Amino acid sequence: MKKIIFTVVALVLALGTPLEAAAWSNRGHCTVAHIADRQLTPKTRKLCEQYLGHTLAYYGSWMDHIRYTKELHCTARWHAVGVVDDKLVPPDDGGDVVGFSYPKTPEEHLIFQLNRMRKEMSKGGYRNMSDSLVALNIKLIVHMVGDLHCPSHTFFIEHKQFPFTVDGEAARYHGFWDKAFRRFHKGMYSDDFYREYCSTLSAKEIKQICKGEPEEWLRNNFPVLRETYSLLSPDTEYNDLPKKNKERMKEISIEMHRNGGLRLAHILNEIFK
Amino acid sequence: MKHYIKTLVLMLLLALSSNEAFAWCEITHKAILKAVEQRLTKPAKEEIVAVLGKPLSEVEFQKERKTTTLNTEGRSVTRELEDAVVRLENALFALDNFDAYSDENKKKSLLIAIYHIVDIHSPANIKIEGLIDGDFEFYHNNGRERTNPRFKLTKLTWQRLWTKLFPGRHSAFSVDMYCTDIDIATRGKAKSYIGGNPRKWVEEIGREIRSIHSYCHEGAEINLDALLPLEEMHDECMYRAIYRLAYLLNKSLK
Repeated sequence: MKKIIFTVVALVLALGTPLEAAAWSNRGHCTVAHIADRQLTPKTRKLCEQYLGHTLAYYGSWMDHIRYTKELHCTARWHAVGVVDDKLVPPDDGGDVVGFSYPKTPEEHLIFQLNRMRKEMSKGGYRNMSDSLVALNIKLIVHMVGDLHCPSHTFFIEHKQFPFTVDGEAARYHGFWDKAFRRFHKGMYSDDFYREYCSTLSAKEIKQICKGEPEEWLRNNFPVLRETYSLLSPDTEYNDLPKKNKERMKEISIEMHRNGGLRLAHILNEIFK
Repeated sequence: MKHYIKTLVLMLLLALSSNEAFAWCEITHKAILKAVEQRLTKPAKEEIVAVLGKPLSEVEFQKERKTTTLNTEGRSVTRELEDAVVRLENALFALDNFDAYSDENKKKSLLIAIYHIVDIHSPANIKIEGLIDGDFEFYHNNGRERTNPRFKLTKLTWQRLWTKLFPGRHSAFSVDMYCTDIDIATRGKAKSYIGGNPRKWVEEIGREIRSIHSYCHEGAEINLDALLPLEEMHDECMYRAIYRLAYLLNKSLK
């Protein structure tokens, strides 16, 4: 236990304030949610519309807007996950809201909370919950599956933040990937992205992408996520990077947004089947 | 109380000016017009194309609105009138008596009706004499305790709140995505939006803005969670504009 606490503290010091920025930004989260909107079964779509009163895309970035409200500050750590000695641990939440404190437990991370909500709602469990709780859970799941696929929301202890610039201005790894959608898919709306990168996938390909559980998806992403650190270089300007690095980063952005959306639909379809 | 409301309305009406306002952001304007078009009857759609030369969803909102000034024909209206509701009522009168108008004034009447119905439902466009005169700055905090080194105050303006912050949360929404979301959000509620008349609608939003202004005013600091109900109001105003404009156009353009 002491070793875990020590390594979490080290992780925090290494990474600074990882949760200040919003992963993917509004555009990225909206796109992940819109892809899911397009892949829902009719039953799931009908239920989600009834509970939310909106599309999933409407609530894509909602969890970012409420995470420091008094009522929902408990969700502040659910946006990300740390990786220490191959174990999944809570990330730093950047401080406590006034008058509110609650213990940082080992379960306060994205994967644990996502699985908890899935378990509670599946097999008809959602019928035993109040409508407002089901709606809240859907909104959280919509956002968390997006965060699960954002490179800057999985914190490897061995990777430290390093300085670099974008268009001459100081940048950080976290903020860089926050703005990935705007950078790599400029001018696209979410439905444009869906048409370009998702609509041509076969049912077999989608099934393959959605195979497994969230923790497996995360661990299978590790090589790609670790690769993102090597594509950016310390003390360099992004615009001076080799073209192949930028193209690879764009590929990763496409893959992560696409997979996030498809898997979000898969999770919701499973919950409401 | 009645006198107070009437005075408030008069002040509101005198302050509304279609040539200065920038009510919604561009994509929201387009989404509103598209959503209205989806709710028009076939005769109304055809009449709009006949008069404007294009469907409602292709009306360029920001570009064209500054050129509309209604010339008199059949009803006494002067160019200098700033009363948006009176202009709107005149425009609606014109729509109900289209045959008596020249093609040019038909076009102007229709555009005034479209612009003003949408404008009077935008919180960003409402001025209340003595309280809100265009724009002002306020702050929202990030939910942390003041003694926390990460406590932060973010400056915001009244205009930016309604035209940038809330639409910005859906910046990846295309017009079609907006319309799909509007369909879901307003399911079963159409009738609740269309009661009343333009004068009552202005009173309604004036009351709501006055209530918000009691805690969100020049120099105020509001909590982060105080913004959430305002986003709901932004959306409700959009929905009212859509259903009321569609209702009026369907009623007049048979």
